[in-house]
Amino acid sequence: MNNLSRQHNLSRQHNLSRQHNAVRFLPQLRALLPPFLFLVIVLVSWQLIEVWINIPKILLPSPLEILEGAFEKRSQLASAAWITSRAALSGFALALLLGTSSALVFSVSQLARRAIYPYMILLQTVPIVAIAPLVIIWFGGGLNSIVAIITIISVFPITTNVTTGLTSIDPGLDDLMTLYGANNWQKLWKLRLPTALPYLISGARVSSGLTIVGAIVGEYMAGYQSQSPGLGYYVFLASTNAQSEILYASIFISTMLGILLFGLVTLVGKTALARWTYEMEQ
Amino acid sequence: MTRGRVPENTAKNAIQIQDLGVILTDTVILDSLSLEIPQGQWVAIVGPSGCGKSTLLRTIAGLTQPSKGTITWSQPSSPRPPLAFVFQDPTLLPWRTVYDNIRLPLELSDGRQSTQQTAIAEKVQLVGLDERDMNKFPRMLSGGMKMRVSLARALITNPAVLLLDEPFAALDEILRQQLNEDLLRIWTTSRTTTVMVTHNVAEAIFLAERILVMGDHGQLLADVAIPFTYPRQRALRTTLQFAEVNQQISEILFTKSRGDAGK
Repeated sequence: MNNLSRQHNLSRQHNLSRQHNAVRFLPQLRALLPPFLFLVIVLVSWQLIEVWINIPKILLPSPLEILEGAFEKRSQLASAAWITSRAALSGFALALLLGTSSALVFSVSQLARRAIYPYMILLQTVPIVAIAPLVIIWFGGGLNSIVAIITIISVFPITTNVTTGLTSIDPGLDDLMTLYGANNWQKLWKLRLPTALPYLISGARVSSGLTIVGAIVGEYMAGYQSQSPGLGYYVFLASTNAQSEILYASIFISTMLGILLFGLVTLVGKTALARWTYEMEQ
Repeated sequence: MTRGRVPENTAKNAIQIQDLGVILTDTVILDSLSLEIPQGQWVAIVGPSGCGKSTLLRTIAGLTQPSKGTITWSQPSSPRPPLAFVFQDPTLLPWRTVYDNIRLPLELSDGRQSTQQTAIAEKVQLVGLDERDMNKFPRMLSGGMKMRVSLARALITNPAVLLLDEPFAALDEILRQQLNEDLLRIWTTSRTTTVMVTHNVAEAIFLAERILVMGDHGQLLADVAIPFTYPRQRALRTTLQFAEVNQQISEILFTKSRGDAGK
């Protein structure tokens, strides 16, 4: 009888837990439903318009034609996506390293911040398409230039955010560290860097979106010398050869890569910050 | 009860302050303050906002540099004995657990891990926290619990001097009284030299054995010895004598502050 009662309770708890999970995810599903339905409506309308009006493929290929074109070139596109991802991740890693190091210098030396920071802002305002040819002259065509372009475009949000984080120390916590005789290194490791972590993650989220932009621009302009072309090179090739369906497929895949990288950084960020009160804006 | 300077204390002074002056951004905060605090005494400093009482505490702690004067400690071998400071906010590192927050002072002074665990568990119990709370993060704690952690962190180094800067000001009255009683219980066994800044006169009378009433620029308006012996119970707050002392100190505060304001 007792066993039965316990089993009944366990099963009830299990059901409650399932219901609880379902209830928890319900708002997220509800939030995803409208954009998904809108996408379906757009794709179906697009396909129907193509059938009825018969727009030339070069102007606007239908969703099915894009799918067909992408399927035919699936191995090349998959390889290009991998190459673009690799370049984007390398540039992103370099941006994280450079951004954090420069922020460390700026947080320690006000003179350095005042002397160099304005030029970083200047660098950010110059269009990347205008800098790209210079980068190609300096680093040559191919992967080096592509990674350099990605780094240039994505380093700035990391530098600014981490500098803000490293210099926004709670004065009470700083007093506490001083009181217990913490040296500068201890303050950096135990207070400044943990305080800057949420800022770093915010900066990395912005940068993650920019890395794919940098990768496509870099490959578009410098990818022709690369032995293994990325998605940006396919965008260039498809536009010159009037292969609209490949152009659309490349755009779609690069967008997906951007979303994937953004999601990955958000996930890492949420995991890293799960322990403290900081909550990232949605 | 005596008003004015407390008679010469034959006990060794833990802190001796002479002609202390502090100027912050061209404003004189403290001007020629002299004061002795005997070892093991609980001194409370009350005064109107902006009179420099928190600055005095910060200067004693070495967090603010004086523009003139000296602070002499009873331990001449070291420049400053181990101090602990409890701020108005709990000042806990949000990414550290309760255990790691309490451990911080030991970690900074490179203490041994084995002795730390026992000492931390001891202090956790002493301040009225549960051992199960040690793995919690500050965001999981109530305001009162956070202050208890802050207190445990202050006590972990067994400080020679405990400095309290309105530690319970942000808490509600019931919680404040509970923490006052807990703090008093802890102090009665350790008799650590304690300097506390507070706005609450009743709190100062209940806890301290001496109250300094401070006016503008750290001017000492009165030095009042509190006539109650330890241990003190909650019921003390409702006695006539307590009310009289409260009335007397409030009067000094009110008349002197009003007099200063009229100058």
